[in-house]
Amino acid sequence: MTTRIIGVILRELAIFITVVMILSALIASSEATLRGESIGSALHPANLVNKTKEYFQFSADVFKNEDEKVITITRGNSTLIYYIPTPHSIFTSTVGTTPGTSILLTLAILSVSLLLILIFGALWGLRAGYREGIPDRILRILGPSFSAIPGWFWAVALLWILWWKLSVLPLSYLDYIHRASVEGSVTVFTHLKGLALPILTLTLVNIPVYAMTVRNLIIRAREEDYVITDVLKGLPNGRIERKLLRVVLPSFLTFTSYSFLNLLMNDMAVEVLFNVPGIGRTFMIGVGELIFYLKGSMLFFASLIMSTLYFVNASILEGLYLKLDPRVRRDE
Amino acid sequence: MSKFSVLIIAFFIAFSIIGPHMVVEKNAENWNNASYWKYNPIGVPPEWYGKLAGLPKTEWLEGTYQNGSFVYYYDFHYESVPQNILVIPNLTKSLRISIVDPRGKEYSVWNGIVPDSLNLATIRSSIMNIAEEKCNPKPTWSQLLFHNPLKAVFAEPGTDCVFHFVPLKGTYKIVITGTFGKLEPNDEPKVRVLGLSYGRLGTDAYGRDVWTGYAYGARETIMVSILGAGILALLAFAVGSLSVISTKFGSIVNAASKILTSTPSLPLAVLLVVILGHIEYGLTPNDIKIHVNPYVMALIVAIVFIGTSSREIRSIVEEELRKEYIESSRAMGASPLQILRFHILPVLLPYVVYLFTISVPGIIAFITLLGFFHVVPGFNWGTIMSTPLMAGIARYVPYWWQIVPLGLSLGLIAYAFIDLGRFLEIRFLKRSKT
Repeated sequence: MTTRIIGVILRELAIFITVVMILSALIASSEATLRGESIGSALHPANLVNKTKEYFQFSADVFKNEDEKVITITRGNSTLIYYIPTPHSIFTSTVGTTPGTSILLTLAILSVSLLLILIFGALWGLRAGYREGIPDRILRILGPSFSAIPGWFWAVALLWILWWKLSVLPLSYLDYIHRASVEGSVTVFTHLKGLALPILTLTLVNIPVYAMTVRNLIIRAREEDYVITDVLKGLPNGRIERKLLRVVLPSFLTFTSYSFLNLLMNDMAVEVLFNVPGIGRTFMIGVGELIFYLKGSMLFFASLIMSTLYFVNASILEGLYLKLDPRVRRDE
Repeated sequence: MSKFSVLIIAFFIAFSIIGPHMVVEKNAENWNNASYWKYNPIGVPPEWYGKLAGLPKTEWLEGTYQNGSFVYYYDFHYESVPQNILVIPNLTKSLRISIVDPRGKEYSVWNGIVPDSLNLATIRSSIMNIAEEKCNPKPTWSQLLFHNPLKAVFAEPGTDCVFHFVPLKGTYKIVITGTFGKLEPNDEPKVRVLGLSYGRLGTDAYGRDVWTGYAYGARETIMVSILGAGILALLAFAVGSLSVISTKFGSIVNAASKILTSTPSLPLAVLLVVILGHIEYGLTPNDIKIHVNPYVMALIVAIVFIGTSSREIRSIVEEELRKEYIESSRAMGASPLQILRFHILPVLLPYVVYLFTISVPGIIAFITLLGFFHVVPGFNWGTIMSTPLMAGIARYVPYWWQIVPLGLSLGLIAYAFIDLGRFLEIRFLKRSKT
C-alpha cells in the first residue's frame, strides 16, 4: 500500500512539474507577445530557462521579509534617493498582506467551505434520499438551479441582502480588518466575520450540488439488500441513516476531486469581489502587472500556488482512495 | 425535456442574432470611451423601473421657436428631481437661459457663453438665488450639493427644499434666448434632462447604457459558448475514436488530458488570450481593449475544458472495449475501424451530444468570470461584469440592473441546456447502457 501511495504522489509530482513548466512557458510567451517580440525567442531553451529561474526566484523572494532598498547618491549639494522595491515589498504593497497570510486566507476559505459543504450537504442529501418528503422536494428544485447559476451571482445576491440591506456582515475583508486593527480588537472571530460572506457564498453554491450527489447515492443504496434487511428488522431510521453515511463519505472524495478546480476558480472570483487579499486577488494583480507592466512574475506566483494546491489536493485524495476504496484494496 | 427549455434556448439564440441590431453600433464601439457617455445619467435604473417607482426619465426636450427664443416644455410629475439638466448649444453666441415654473414665475439661471455643455444644477449663484426665494429654511450650497441642487428649482415655494422636499408638479419651461439679440431658427440648442432612470437596463457608474452591453455582448457570448462547446465535443469525439484505433495514442491522450485537468483554468485561459489576441492600450486602465477572434476564443475555451471531458470519453470507450460482445467481434476478426463504426460510435455519439449541451452554460459562466480579472476578450457579457468591479465594489452594489438581468440570463440558459442534457442522458445514454 505504501509503495502505491508513494507511486501516486510521484505521478502527481511529475504532473505538477509539467504544469508549472507549461505555465512558465506561457507566461514568458505572453510577455514576449506584449513586447512585440516573437514567441520563438521566448521559447528558446536558454531564454526559457532564464525566465523560469527569474519567476522561481521572485516566488521564493516574496517570502523573504525584506523592505525596499534605499540608495542615496549625493552630488554636490543635491541628494538623490532611489527606492528599489523587493519582491516582498511589491507583494505586500499591491496585494495588501504578506504572501504567507495570502495563502493562509485562501486555504482558510477553501477548507472551511469544504467542511460546511460536507456536513450540511451530507445531512441534507441523506435525509432527502432516505426519507424523501419536503427536504427532497426542495432539493430537487434547488439542486439543478444552483448548479446552473454561476457562483458570483449568489455572491452578489448575498452581499445585497447581508451587507447592503441588513448590514449584518462586512463587505470588504481588508477594510473590516483595517478598521478593527485601528480599534485594537482583531481576534480570530474578526477574521471569521470578515471572511463570512466569501465562505457563505462558496458553501451556499455547493451544498445543494453536493446534497444532490448524496441523495442520488442514497436512493441507489437504499435498494441494497443490507438496507432492506435493516428496515425489515425494524431498526430506527436514525441508525440506518448512520450506516448509510459510510456510503456517503467516499463520495465526498469524488466530489472534492472533481470540483476542486471549480471551487478554486469560484474562490478566485469571490476573493476579488469581497476584497480578500488571497491568491485570487494576487492573481488579479498578476494579470494587471502582465498586461500593463509586461511582468509575469506575480502571475506566475499565483499560478504556482494554485497548481500546488491542486497537487496537494490530488495527492491526498488519490492516497485516500487507495486507503478507503474497498475495490482498490481488493485489487492488491 | 420541457418545452420551456427549448423555448429558452431558441429565444437566446434568436436574441444573440437580433440583439446587436437592437442597439446603436456606435455605442458599442465607444464602450470604453468615457467622454462618449457624458450626456447620460450615472448609475440609474431602467426606465420601466423608474415608471413603477415614480422616477423621472432621461429625455431630450423638444424645443419650439418663439420670437427669437427657444422654449422647451418639461412635464414634471415626479416625487424626485432629475439628476441634472444639460443645455448643449450648437453655436458660440452668448445665451440667456431662464426657467419658468408652473406658477409662471421666471428664474434667470445663466447669461453668457456656453462652451460645450452647461449643467444647470452646477450654477451655484443662480441656484442659491432660487433657493433664497423658494426654500424655507434657506439651505447652504453644500446641503444642496449633497442632496441635488435642482431640488431648489422643483420645490414647492415656502417648503424645506432639502430634508423634506415637496415637489411643485406641472409643466416647466426652459427659455433660451440670445443675450444680445434674437436667435435664428437654425441656432437651436439641445436640452437634455438626465433623469433618475434610463433606457431598457439603466446605466453603469460611467453612464454607459447597460442594454448596449447586454444586447451587443449576447452575440459573442452565445456564439463563443456554442462554438466552444461544439469544438470541445468534436475534440472529445476524436479523442474517443482514436483511442479505439491506437492504444499508444490513447495513452498519450490520457497523459495530456491529466496534465490539462491539473492546470489551473483561469491562468491558462488568460495566458492563451494574451498570446493569441491583440491588446490595445488607451489612456486609462479602463481603455484597454483585448481583441480575440471569436473562433480563436472558442478554441481557447475548448482547450481549457477538454482535459476533464476527454478523460470521461476515454473511460467510456475503455469500459465499452472491455465488454464481451466487443471481445467476440475481435475474435471474429473485426478491425478497430469496424469496432469503432459498429460498436463504439452508437455509444459515443449520444454522449458527445450530451457533453455539448452541458458545456454551453459552463463556458458562458467562464467567459463572464474572466471579466472579474479585467480580461475581456472582445465584447461579451464579461464586459458588463468587469465594469462594476473596476468602479469599486461599494459603488456597484446598488446597481442591481447590471447584475440581475445577466445573472438571470445565465441561469436560464444554464437551466435549459442542463435540462436538454438530462433529457439526452435519459433518452440515449441510459438506454445504451442497458
